[in-house]
Amino acid sequence: MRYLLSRLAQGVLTLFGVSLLTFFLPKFFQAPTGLAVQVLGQRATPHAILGFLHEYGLDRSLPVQYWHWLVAALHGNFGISYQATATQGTPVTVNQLIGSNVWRSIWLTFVPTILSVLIAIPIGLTQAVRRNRPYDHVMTTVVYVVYSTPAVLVCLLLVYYFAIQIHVGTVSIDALAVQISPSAFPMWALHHLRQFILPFVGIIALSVGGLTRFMRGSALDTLVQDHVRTARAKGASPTRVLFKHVLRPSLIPMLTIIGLSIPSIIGGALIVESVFNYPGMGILAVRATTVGDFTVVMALTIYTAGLTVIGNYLADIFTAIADPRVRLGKGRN
Amino acid sequence: MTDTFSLMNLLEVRNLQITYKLRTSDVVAVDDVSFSIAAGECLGVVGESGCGKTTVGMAIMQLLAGNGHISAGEILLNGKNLVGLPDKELRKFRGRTVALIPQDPMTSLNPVMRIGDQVVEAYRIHHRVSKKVAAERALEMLRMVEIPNAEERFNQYPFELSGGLRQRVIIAMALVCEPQLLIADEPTTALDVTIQAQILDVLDNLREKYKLAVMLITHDMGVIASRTDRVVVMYAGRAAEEASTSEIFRDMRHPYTRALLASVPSIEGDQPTRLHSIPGLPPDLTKPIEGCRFRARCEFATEECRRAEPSLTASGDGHRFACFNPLSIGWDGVRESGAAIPIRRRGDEILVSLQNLTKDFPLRAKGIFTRERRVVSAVSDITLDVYRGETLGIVGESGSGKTTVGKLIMGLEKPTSGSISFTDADPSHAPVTQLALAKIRQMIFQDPYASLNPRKRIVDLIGEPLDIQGTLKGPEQTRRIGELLDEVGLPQESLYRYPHELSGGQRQRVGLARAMALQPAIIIADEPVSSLDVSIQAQMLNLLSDLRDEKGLSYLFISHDLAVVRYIADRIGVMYLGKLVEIGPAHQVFTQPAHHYTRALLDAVPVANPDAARGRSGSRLGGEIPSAIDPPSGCRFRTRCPAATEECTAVEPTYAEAGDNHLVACHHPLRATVAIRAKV
Repeated sequence: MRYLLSRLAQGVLTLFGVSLLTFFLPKFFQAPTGLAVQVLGQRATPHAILGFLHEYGLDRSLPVQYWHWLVAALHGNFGISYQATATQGTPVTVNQLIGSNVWRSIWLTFVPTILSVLIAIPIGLTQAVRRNRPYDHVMTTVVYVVYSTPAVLVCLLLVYYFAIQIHVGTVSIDALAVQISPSAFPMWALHHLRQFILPFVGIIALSVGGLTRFMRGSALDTLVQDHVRTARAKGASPTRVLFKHVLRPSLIPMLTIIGLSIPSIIGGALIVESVFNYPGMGILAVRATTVGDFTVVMALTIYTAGLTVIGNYLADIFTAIADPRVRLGKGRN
Repeated sequence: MTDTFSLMNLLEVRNLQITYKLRTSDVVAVDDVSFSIAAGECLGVVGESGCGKTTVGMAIMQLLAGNGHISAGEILLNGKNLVGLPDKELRKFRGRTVALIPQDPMTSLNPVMRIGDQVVEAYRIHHRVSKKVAAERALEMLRMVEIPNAEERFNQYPFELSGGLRQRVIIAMALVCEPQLLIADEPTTALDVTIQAQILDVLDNLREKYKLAVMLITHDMGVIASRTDRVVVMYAGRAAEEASTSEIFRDMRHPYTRALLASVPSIEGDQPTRLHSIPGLPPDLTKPIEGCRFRARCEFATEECRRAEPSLTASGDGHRFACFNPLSIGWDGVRESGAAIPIRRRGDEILVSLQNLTKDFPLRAKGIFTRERRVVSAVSDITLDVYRGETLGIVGESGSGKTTVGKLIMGLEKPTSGSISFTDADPSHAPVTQLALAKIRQMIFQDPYASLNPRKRIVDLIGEPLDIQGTLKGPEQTRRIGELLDEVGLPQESLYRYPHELSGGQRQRVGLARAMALQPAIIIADEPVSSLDVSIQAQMLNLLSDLRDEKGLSYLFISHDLAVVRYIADRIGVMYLGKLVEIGPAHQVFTQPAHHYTRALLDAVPVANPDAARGRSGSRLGGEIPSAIDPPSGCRFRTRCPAATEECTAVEPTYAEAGDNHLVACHHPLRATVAIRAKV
């Protein structure tokens, strides 16, 4: 309990650090006037620009701006998106903007991550059991090829060979996706599963390699442990040994790795989104960064960092559930 | 060997050969080994590491490591050859007819499975019964191996149990299907002597109850003497000698058996005699061996031994040995070569003085808001002096705080209270630097593998303390390192070797040379020989005592092995749960102990003499060492003490004099004492 609380404090500190970096670093590259011109248009008068800067507090010193941002952010208010406000004419808050996009991204990352884990565990486990035999060598090669090919290339190859040549999956995802409301989205996505095949495969290709390698290593470590020999000495069958005595101890370190791989999956989803023209958080982030819509960038960074922190936190909790040594405390008598 | 199967024998191993495939070559780890075990019999298999004893045990279980296989021979269990049987057939034997007790109880249980479930699983693999029936059976077994509060323990995980309890669980698991043969591979090596005695007693009782045959694999001649009916002595993959236990200790014929026995220090007798140490190392099995494999280390080797490998020849009733020049029968020369070591008088100059030394390790508080600070009382109020030139042995079970005392003297831990002063310096007052203290005190470690940086050459390892001090540089330093190698008996060629190119014993010598580089006054030796085989251990012990005599060194010699401490120490301090309960001259503490704990420790040590071993009264210390978090009030030993009274609960005993320089902290000592004021 104490441990979990201290981890929570660490997480909050991490988020604070991340917010400082993302707030201050871009300010050295772009003056706020540029943003005003972006929003107000090329013909904005100096007076209008000053008014804009004053309205959003952009004429104050950076630490003050940061303080105001921080106070608001702690209340869950990340301000308005300058870009969206300018294009739509009415104020659009960052949370609204993200809220309308986030479900699509969660769908795109969550499902393939689960699939990746479900693929990696049996492959890694069977590889460990057949260590240094042909199956292991073949799988190792395949895994490394997939693992080391850049995500963009994987996606483009998928599109070319599958969507274009043999019509498995689609070149891009229906632009209609933008208009589906968050509540209706899951049903819509299930109905249009075919469109998601290739994006999912892209993200799986990105994450499955590392997970498989790790699972193989973890299972190899477990296989040589004395308690596995004890199980065999009892007369347990190979299947029984594998499922009851090898699998669970090997999965415990996997949980941490799954937690740690969240940022790379989110990063990979960005690439997949742009290849398949899928309106998720990735595309939103790219657009916001290019136009200097810093409130959106800030919010996305904080949310992503928060997700990573939470992911690792959950991994710790699951580890505690799976491992009685962690759950019950090592020194108990 | 005849091919007729004898009904008497439960297990027959015939001409067994086991080969390991390595990257470059094949190694024949076990060659032409034959023996048998009758129903209900206990066969001891003894030998040093690498002799193949564990490999034979695993071969019988058909659980050899992936790169090992049986390349020749037969293993007949109830007349059925197990070699070459498919795994499906073998699984019917494993756990049901033959069961295994592996070496290390700490790692041999599934860490994420409740211990009850692990015993249940062992039963249900071979019996089609409901979980409930199996659970009842498992619980019965846990009670049978004398696990206290078995119902409660049933649902615990291995990490919640001590090593001794885990080994009991493993025994329960092995015996739940009532096998006919038990293969016990060093079942008590990882345990303390008092727990070892308890576990061996449990095994003995169950052996009788179930008419169980046991193959007891061990390196400990004491365990062999007290527990087995017959012995096979293995050397470098072959059987050197086989005989009944009483005969092998009385009329050993193979020079290796004798050498092995002569290298074991004993707790018996008034005075230790110099240990016989077998020179050299066992042969490298990756290279072809010409003639007798023991030849290079044998003092009786002749030309014949070089030409041919001796085979096992029978001599008398069931006694077989493989030697061309066997020892003659009735030749009682085990300790012949060892001259009695004179009892040394300690000098009068105090070198290190511990005053009321206490070390508490704080625990992490349980709740977030509780102020309660709990501590592990590792060392509590220890006062003692180490004199120049003496060896003070510290003995005690794990958890007694003996290692912490060593670390405190080394300055690796800071005392919670109390002080340590050196005659040459006083670390508590003067700003004496670690650098200066390093010239007074040095340390050698238990594990020769982990205590040397694998990426440094020997010359750099030994030279590092000299570099740090900046006293000797360049060629002068190299010359000094060369001298040190001579002193510890390492060849000069090893100067530019890396640790992995040396054997365990040689590495331990490197550790000693490193400690001696600065010519310290005292060396703290924490279990310096525990991980070495007996023959190498004897070499190291003799080296340590020679160096002490030559250089006037002091040792603080920390060990769980009473016989080793008896051999090397002038005085002995006995620790229990952070307290020094008895301290006195070695011969006196061993022959006439004053504290009940010392007595119990001595009783638990297996003696390498079958007659003495069987004659010894079985006063066993029950239970296990309590937690040092809330140590018992009054005398900390009272919970396990046969003489404990209410006084022991209420009042902590002070030191009383039980003889010359012999102090004991006990309300009811085993010897008449004279009360003194507590030594302050």
